Amino acid sequence: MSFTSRREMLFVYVVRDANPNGDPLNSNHPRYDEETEQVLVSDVRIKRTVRDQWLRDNKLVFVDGEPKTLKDRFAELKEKTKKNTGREVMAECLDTRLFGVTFALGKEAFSWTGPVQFKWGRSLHAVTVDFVQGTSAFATDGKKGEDKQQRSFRNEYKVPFAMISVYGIANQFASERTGASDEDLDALRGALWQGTENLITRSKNEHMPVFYLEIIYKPGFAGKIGSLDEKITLLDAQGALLSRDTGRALRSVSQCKLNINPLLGSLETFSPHIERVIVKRNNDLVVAGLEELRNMGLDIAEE
Amino acid sequence: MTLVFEIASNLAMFRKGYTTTSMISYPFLTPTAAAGVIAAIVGIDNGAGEKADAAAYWQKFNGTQVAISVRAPLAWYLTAVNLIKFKNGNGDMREHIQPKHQFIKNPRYRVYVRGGDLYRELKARLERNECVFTPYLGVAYAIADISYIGEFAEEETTACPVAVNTIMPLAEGLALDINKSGAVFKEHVPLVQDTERSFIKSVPVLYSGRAATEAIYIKEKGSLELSMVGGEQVAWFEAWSG
Repeated sequence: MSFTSRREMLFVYVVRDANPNGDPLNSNHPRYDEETEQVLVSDVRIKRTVRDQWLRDNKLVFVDGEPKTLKDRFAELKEKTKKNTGREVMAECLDTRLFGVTFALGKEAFSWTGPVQFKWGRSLHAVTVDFVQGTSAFATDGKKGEDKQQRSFRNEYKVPFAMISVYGIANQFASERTGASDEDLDALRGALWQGTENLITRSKNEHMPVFYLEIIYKPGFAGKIGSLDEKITLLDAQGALLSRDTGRALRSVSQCKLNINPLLGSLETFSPHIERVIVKRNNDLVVAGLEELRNMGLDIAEE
Repeated sequence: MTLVFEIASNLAMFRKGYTTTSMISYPFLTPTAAAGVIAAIVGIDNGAGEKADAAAYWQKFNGTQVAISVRAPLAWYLTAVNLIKFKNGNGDMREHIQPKHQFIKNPRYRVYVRGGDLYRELKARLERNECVFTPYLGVAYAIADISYIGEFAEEETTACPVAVNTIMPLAEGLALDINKSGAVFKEHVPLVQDTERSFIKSVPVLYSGRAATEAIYIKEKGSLELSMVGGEQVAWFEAWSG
């Protein structure tokens, strides 16, 4: 059963002393826009966070991140789902229903555009990147006949602090093909938040979700506000716009305020089409405009 | 009459099909990508759910003609993306590859559309700010915003010299004023595909070497189809036959 209402999503999270998303072309330096000094996060990274959480929740996920061939993975899923064709099996997997899939195995080749698409995430302020070196834990074996053993150095990049916003959209028409449901979208919302909390690998510690806003439109509405990530700004604790320097100097959530006021005008304009707005927030984050949002007369669910 | 809309995002990549591992982009929205955007707005299913390489919307473009102008200075962003290696028939997921991606930064384009069977439906959707499928610029994660500029009467341009505001197909008999244009670059862009996404036809085009946003000055227009649309000189790609 596909979903019938279009949704738009805005997700904001914080990265401290970690690497949000390394660029393999640049020694794993965080993806970085040198002109604006913002860090970037690919959509693939965001979807990995979500998929990992679904796997923890024992949901059926096609791209499980394990090293195995497509043939093997497909065989596993056929066994699990008791289905036969690629289309049938893919319709059972939560990630392919929501994010789409290009499937080519044997004689079956098809491509589903995912109803849910994410833009690349982007920090809301200028960010500094630190290059850190350390010694590796274990020494390498000495060469033949030599006792000498050497430890090597490891290099890594970290950002001291970055608040990153991500925009996503769920398209009801594309869900007709993949069969993505409203329950699937609820599972996505949960996994974005919890999956980010659960990013506890060495390079991803610490990641914290801080704000989430989802607009659920009325059935039949085929428009969008668009680019919600560009309709919010980050202010300093006093409420002034951040300069490049103050942006770079941010080190904690308490030093800034998320300003959703620029978004409220669009919400007002689109209010006849909006069924419900879901808001979720980390209590440490001050959100300017939240009170105004609550008083707009929209159906707001705060989780 | 001509419909005019703008499409913008933070990133875009219009991949050159003949580049192998590295994903190199055309410097602007190609006519084929504009066709995809129009199909997304009016909601024509590409049929890829049945056959992976289908582009069924090409049947619907009979008589449609487009022109494209670049509205934001051309800037590039180069990075690599970690992908599953998906090369052979049995799709080995063990290996990952990090192909280089060449993106256009903060792109914005103006698209002009006239004629064809889709015109009325496109106009209705644009007027209601609707887009049936999610619009993007070349790759699905470059989700784009569309803003409708309006519908304009067009007036055929016959007298030269003029300053052309769009990307310009290289027509027979065209004469440039290179001094006034400053710098002009040439690119070959795909114009026509078939319903199986096979390449049918490309055209050589000229665009301003000054950040791709400036006008190109011409002395003679030759066989170029040129119109005045809402105060701008617009050079049309040939109509699709569908």
